[in-house]
Amino acid sequence: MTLESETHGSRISTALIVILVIAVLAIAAATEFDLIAREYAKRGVGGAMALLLLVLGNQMPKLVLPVAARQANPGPVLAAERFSATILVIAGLAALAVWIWWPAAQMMPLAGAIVLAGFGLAMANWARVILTGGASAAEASTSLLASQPRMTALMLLHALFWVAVIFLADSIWGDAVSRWLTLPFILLNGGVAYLYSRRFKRQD
Amino acid sequence: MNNAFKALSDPTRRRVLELLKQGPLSAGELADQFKVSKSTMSAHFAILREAGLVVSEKHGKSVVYQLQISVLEDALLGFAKLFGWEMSAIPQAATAPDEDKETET
Repeated sequence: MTLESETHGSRISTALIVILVIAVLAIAAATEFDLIAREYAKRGVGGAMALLLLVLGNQMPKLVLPVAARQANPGPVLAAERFSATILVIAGLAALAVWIWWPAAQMMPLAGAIVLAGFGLAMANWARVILTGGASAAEASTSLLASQPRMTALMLLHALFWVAVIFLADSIWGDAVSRWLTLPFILLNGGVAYLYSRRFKRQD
Repeated sequence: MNNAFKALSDPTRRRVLELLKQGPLSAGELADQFKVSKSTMSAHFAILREAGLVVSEKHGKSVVYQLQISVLEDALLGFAKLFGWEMSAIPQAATAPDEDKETET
């Protein structure tokens, strides 16, 4: 049974995500050829990342799972999903505002901190639901990983989390640290990809 | 988006969405919450489905509905509830899709 939303809205969101990724690459290329001032390039790339977080957060609750994939009483998990998605949308909006209007000197650490706070709250919310018995860890992971569109969204969110970590670390400790941070990103992304392949091998 | 506004403009449909926030429900369980005919409920479900705010699955003879609203649509639902939007009347039962008439219990 395929239930994942093939709606007009999700197609628009997918197109927007692709456009944002292309825009980031175009800005990076334009900066290399000195076609854009570094400050505007930073604002453009940061703004695109914030917009990506906003679109993904907004679209997550649309990626519906079949009823059979849910636990008997899915209420707490559904509420946790909606709350986490709302937090990510708010974080995306706030970060976007920072990239557009905040003075250049503080925009990178501030936007990074806002996005990380958003992810922190979303994760704390899932932890609260699990610790208070609203859902088991298995049910929570099913909620995040049980369909391919959700898994794809999770991988994109994971990448955005590391982008925010790198923005913040770069502002505090400089370029050298941010280069080192690509290593845990690659390792953890490999871990997420492993979970993905295990999950769908079991289903096949 | 226009479909979403239309779907959210009716208090019965907003109430259906609120009920579905607790989890998936069958068409029968949802219809039991309202004092309207089955065919009218079917028309409401059709409008919600068309707007992409709910999805349906067939389970045996019944149809189970699930919420499918984005954060933005959820915020619009909150505003609609707060300000009591009511723009259009529900189309008559004749507009309800045949599949609902046959399968929803």
